Amino acid sequence: MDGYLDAIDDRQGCDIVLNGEKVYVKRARLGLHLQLARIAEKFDESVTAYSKSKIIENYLSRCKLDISEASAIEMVEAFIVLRHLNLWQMDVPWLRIIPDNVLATGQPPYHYDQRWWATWIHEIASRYGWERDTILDLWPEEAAIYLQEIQVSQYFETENQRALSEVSYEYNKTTHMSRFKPMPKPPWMIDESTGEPIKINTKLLPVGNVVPMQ
Amino acid sequence: MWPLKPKPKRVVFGGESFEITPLNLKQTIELMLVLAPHLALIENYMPEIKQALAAKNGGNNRPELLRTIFLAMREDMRTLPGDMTKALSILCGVDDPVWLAKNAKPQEFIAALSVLDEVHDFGRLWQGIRGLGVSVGYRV
Repeated sequence: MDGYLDAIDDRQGCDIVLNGEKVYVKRARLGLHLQLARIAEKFDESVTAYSKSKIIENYLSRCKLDISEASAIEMVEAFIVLRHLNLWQMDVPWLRIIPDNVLATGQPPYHYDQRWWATWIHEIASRYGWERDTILDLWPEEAAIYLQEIQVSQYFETENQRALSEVSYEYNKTTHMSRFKPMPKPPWMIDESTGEPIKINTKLLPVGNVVPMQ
Repeated sequence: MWPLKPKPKRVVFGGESFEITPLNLKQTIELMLVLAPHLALIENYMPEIKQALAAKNGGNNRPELLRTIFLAMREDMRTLPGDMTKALSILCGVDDPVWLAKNAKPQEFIAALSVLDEVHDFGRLWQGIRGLGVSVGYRV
């Protein structure tokens, strides 16, 4: 998946074979994607063949497939293919660095399980005014892209408002001058190629007007 | 005229005849869990295994090829009798792998290979084991 247009393409899906016939299965939207991811995680954590077989049946049933007469090997192959299909398919910059509050062991008192996903719904609904079912009907990468754009917009809106107040100006008591201090960016918004300028001692600088080569 | 019911496939171990039926999902997963740790060992013979698994069922060479492979693997399989006997018991629908280990003869096993392959399709089973092993590594 290369970009936004691929992320919203309606043709996402694949063919599987059940009961000896080819069946086209569409990729899961966000709501179903989250459910299937939980089921797949339980599959990895389970240890007995019985529990794994029940989980595979559950997974395929959630994908609305008729497995009543499918052979065992067809079900296994379908599970493998669909699990791969419903993986995360795009590298969204916002998700490269998972926020600390998702991984932190010391959770705040208002934390609950799967709160991370509830914040997704909350952010998108607050911004766009969409209903929960509409949001859960988005493609997973599409939802992540919208969330990233929401966060980018929020950052710049906050920065603009902050720039109008004295909070963003740092007063230096020695020089009696104020210096604008931009709002710190989250790690995924920082361009890694342009690092901090290397500071050189003024005594080592050449004589004359030094023009930085940028 | 009603279509004739296909004759059940049978194999003989220790003088007893066993009907070979397709595995259900639990048995398939059990077989995969038993064989998956030995994937790397068996894949040492990859060129021959690939050739055998790629051969069509109608190909006359396939049973012979499987027989050759398992004979060649005999030395390696000496060190893991438990898992291979367990796998064989699952494939044959025998509840007691210990009985099979005590009573089955190697010639019977070789003779049963083609029947087991016809019912269970070793090629698809093998791809399933590899795919399931890879899919377990998926983590968001």
